Amino acid sequence: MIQCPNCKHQELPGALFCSECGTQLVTADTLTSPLANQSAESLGFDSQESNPAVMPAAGPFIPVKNIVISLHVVNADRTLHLTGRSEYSLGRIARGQPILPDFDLSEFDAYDHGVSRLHAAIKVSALRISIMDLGSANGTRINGQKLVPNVEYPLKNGDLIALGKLKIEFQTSND
Amino acid sequence: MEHYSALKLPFDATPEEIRAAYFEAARKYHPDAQNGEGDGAHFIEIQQAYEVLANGKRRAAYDRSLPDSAREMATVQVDVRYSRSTIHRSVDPQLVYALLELSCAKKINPNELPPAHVCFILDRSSSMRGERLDMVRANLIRLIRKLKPTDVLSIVTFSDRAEVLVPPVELSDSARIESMILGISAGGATEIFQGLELGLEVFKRFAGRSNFLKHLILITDGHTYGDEDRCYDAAERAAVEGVSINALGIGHEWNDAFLDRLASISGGNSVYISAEEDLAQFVEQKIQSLSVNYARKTELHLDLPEHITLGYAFRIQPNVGPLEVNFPVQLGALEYGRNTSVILEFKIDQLQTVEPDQTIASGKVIFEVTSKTIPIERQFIRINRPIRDTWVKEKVPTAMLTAMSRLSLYRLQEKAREEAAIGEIESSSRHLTYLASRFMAQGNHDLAHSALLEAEHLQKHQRFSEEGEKDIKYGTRSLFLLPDPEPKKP
Repeated sequence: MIQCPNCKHQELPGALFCSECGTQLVTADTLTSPLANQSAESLGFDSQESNPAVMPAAGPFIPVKNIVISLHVVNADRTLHLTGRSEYSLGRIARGQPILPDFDLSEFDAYDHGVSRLHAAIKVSALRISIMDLGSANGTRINGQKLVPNVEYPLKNGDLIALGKLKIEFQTSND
Repeated sequence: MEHYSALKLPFDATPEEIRAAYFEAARKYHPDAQNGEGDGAHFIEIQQAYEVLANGKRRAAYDRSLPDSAREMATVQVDVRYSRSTIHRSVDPQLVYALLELSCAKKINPNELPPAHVCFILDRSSSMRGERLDMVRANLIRLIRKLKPTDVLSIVTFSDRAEVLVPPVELSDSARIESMILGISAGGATEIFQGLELGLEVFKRFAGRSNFLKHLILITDGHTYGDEDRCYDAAERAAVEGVSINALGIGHEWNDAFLDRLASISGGNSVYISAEEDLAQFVEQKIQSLSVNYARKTELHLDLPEHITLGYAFRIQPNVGPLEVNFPVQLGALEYGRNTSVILEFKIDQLQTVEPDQTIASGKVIFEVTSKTIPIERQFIRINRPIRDTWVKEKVPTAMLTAMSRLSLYRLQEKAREEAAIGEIESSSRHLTYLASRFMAQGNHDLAHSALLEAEHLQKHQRFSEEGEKDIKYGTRSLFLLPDPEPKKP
């Protein structure tokens, strides 16, 4: 059985949405993957995924340290390099915020550009790099296409990510 | 009569299909048939057709005698998408979703599509008097002016009895029809069966030219009492004749569960008319879809193994609405340029086979392309998944996820309605509250508001309000008409 992270209702494996409260369960499905499991532990950010009730037994973790990804913030013409982890959350730090994003975009006028405190997460695995909107207020777009929140979308070299109105070009050595 | 059509078979029928079709037709049309439609002349045609088609050599010779157009390539392509790429070998139950898409695989010139026969069954009971009747008259006239001159229109009006207001006529003389529409007067009670029955009779009497695509549009504003079962029976006969029903409810004092079921039996759907714009919009869409209809009487036949059940079937496009889960599932007319998409929910009780894959369901889609020499077409369907020994995480295809996110809301309101109907007020209002928060999360404030108001009403009166239940149900359904947020694959 799958347990809904929102209302704890039990659903059959294969269910995509909770029949009790309508919450999307595919993120819950993601949890059975060793990789996602590790990333939730290492980051500890409070998305639905870190709900201990739905954590399966930990699986082996394969580090993906060799993959270098870079985020080029277009309007500031600055590039951030990310390495050594399998997951990075993007957002901005505000006063009194309990959970901090891995990358604070405040210095790029994130607030004025409509970036949420926990806006999106980039996940890196040996197989692929993906991005997931974390239910942000103004949404995330890839090359102009809006993402459905809490669903992973593949990222490739040169993709233009928009967090609200903040534009970031994605670059990777792993293409 | 052409042999394939006599047995209602496609040109590429298999020997098994020919035999099955023969036995079915023979039972039905045998002159001594008990409950069938004994018809000596037609029975002889069936016999002759079977004798030719069941014999390989005679069939080949017959095929050669047919014009080349009989060998036309398939019109429809069927695609199946799944919620998962594999299923799990397990003693526990699991769910799999399939998204069935029927698309037109051929270039069709819209000007060569068969004409339509549209029959309106119009409630003229006393509650229709005034604004409602005015609104219907105006929109009927608008529709008539936009139909093709070769299309045929008929109008039946009913209260506690029914009469043919406009017998089937080509629309070349629309001025006379318009003056008849303006002359409709209201009075009496609502007995839907009377109207339906006479409407079907009108289609039957007009059978002379059989290639028409047949549409029945029922417009009512009231409850019908005691004749529901006879109405369902009439809808089943409509499906057999290839007539699909759209049932329009005006205002909120009508039974949406009844109209929904009535329409879905025939492959159509029900539509909520809360204001004149809704009717105008329906008419606009109907004109649009009539101009691109190329097939009728679409049926989905599926066989399932014993340990698998079809739990739910819902059409997300066109004619949004739940489908009857009895086989064959009626899908009504097909439109050129717009796919017919259906979501199927399968429950697998247990999966212990040693085979590497499992056929979840197999069968076919059958429909009639009336412009073709041999109108019946059939496409085989196999819903099948490989099996794995472990349960693996999978990314669900976006199209599937988008459709399911809307469907999950629709089913949540269905659940709340069902619970309220059996007096489970607490859980019904809890589901309405969840629904409201889902709407809110999607930025759909009007629907969120309606759901919260309804939860309040439920607490106070122990039941839904007639207006609220329809606002929420059809509001949730209309979400399927929103453009897909699906990102284009690079």
